[in-house]
Amino acid sequence: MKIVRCVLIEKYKEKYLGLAALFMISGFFYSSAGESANKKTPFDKKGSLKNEVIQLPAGSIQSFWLEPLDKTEKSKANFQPTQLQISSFESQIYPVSNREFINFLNKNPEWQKESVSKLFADESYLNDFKDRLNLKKGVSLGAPVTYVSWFAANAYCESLKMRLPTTSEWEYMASASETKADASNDDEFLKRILEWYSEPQGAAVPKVGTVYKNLYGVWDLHGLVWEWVEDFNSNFVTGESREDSSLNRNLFCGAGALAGGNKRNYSAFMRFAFRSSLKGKSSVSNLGFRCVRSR
Amino acid sequence: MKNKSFLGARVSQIILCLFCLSPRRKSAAISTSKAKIDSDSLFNLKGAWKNQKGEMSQLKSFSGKPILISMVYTSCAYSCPMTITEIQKIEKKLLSEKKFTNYQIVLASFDTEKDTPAQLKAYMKKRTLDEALWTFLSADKDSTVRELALVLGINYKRLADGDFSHSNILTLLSSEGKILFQVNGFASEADSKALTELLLKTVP
Repeated sequence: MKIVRCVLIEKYKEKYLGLAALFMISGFFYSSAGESANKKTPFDKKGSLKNEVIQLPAGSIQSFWLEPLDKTEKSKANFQPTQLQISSFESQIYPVSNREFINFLNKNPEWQKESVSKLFADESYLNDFKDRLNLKKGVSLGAPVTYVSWFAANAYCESLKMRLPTTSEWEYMASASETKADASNDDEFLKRILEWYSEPQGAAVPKVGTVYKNLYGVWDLHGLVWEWVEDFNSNFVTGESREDSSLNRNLFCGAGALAGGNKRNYSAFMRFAFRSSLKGKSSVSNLGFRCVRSR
Repeated sequence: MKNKSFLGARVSQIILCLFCLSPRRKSAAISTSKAKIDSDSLFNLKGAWKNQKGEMSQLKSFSGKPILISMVYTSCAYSCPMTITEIQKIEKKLLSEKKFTNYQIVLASFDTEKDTPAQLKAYMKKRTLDEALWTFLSADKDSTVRELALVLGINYKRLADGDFSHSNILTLLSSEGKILFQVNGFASEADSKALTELLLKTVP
């Protein structure tokens, strides 16, 4: 008989998600890290940005979730992290900018603010736009496009014959610091990410290519905007760990009995919590995206 | 004269056209390629699905009758069989109490790899699902599945062993594809009652 396994965020939920909610409610935003270590501007003289696509090598990351090695194992003390294998893929080096998105809107008017289907976007869609193709005053063409729903982001990537990254692909890219391929256990790097997360909202979103470039050559994975992933709706948050005997098994089916993983990687918790709060049509002020493609 | 017979043909042609355009009973399926789709209708989804007969269709081909829709997969051992039983209970109730069959039941599969039309058909046979009322769909592309799950509010994840973790939401769509009512988890008595009553209200 198949054992029912269910996804849980364990006792960490109370501790971390409460804080995560606080951060999100206070509308925290990133401001530029100031003087970036990599000063070469990605904008040409006309102010245009070339959003190159570079290759990420195959590799692995430790899963965010812990799993029991033995599927009949019930005690969470015996849960282990697993290594997720990531195949080589290609990614845009910057989050998609307002300039690039306006270009897309021009060719695909059904995604403009005035005409978009209510199924695919909520009332905040393209809130930084004054009208069809024009930004509000003070919003930079070189800034990452935000207030975009998953459907709009997905459509944009498809127009380039690309796609949104999976959560694993995104986390894999984002685990690299400027100098290390896997900095997910590097306390210094993790601390910087949390500092970025906790900076108060600045006047305007900085341009892409201004925060930091990681070892792979990918820019601004932390410190600029949150980013959409293809499978953001693939995790479930259930009740308090104290009550897991009364877990509402009606709600889900066949999920792995998993517990929250690396306790040191608080920023990963925040991202997972944030993603769990989204819907396909959510358009949020500090949420953008970039595109990838398989090799 | 040639002109007269031409005119005669024209007139009968026009009469014939008028006859075709005369109002029909609303329960007949409307030509969906010409019908205007509302902004918040699920029929805006353009993904391609195949049913248990191997026929290609988009969601808008279900326009014309209200739809009970849920997402499952054939090798699901836990809650999917129960979800289907729940829907069968509603089906029986509507049939026995109100003789009502003017709606559709649509199951859409998460599993683009294993749930072929043949697999869907075998499953329907095993569960004795009446093809007059039930349709089982499978998509070629994972993005088609993802988009439907997103608009229905269903979370899911493909696991390493080929199984799927997924939430259970049963949705009632109007004949124009708009969400009327959703049941999260298994339908309670009250939910089933609300669903059947809503369905009966949708009779045109």
